[in-house]
Amino acid sequence: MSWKDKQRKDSIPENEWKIVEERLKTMPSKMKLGILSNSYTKQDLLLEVQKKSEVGRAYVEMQMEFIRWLAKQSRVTL
Amino acid sequence: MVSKAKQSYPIIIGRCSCDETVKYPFYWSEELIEEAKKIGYNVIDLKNENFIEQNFSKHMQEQNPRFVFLNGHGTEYFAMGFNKQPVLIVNKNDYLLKGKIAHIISCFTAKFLAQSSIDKGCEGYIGYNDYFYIWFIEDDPSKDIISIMFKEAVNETSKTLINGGSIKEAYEQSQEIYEKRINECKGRYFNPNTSEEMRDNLQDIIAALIKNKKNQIYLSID
Repeated sequence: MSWKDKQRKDSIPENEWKIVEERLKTMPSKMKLGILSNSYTKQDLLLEVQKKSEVGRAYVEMQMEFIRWLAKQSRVTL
Repeated sequence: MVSKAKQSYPIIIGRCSCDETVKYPFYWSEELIEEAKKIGYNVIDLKNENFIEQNFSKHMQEQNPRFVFLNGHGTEYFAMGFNKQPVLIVNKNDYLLKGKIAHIISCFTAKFLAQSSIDKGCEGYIGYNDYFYIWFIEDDPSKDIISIMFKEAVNETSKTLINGGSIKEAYEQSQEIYEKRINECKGRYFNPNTSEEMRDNLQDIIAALIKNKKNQIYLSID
């Protein structure tokens, strides 16, 4: 793992990895994510998140972006 | 807008269908090729085993294209072609983009390759400075209804360029499409009649669209 990857991996707090892991455990889907020369089902992504791999990190970052977006929507609609 | 008369410069499109992810942009390019031909461009379609550095460099030097549209994997330092072989590489052949406009669909290349190309005279570069995400559900891209959500923002960027739009206009058009798609999904996500499963899928799609929108950048000498 390069210093850059390590830096990025470390930048995700432990609770954010957990939030995404829990969601993946409860929400199966037939969709696949295409990223970094491979495709991943939700089952695959769960394993990647648990391994804290590069793909796992990319997925956690994406989900946390959604959570921030959702929080912003709620502020607007409430 | 450009006229439908024969265009003096060709367009180079690089694409490969060598894995489950890149076959989507490979398929999306068909629409762009069709439009480019209608406008009168000569399209040099480097696909699969022809999408390698040697061919790419040769065509860039001999054909002097105005636009370069590459689809494949990427790193900060190079865009990849067939079987993930580097095709356009920082400080090796990125000088070939001098005077040209590039739209690169891949992860990361807009981080260093974009700036390096601009430093060497590239007129404009649109790409992604982090991951590029695609969700899909079918093995056949032509039947996939999910990946369409990601296609439009990509194709409209290139279409705007070949129709005479500026680099900034192409980027803004693409950003608008991302926003439009996010809002469409948002309407469904907040609809009380939407099932839990659908809402879960929408969460993933919205998240990917937000990331792609954020990761897309343009550099230009304008």
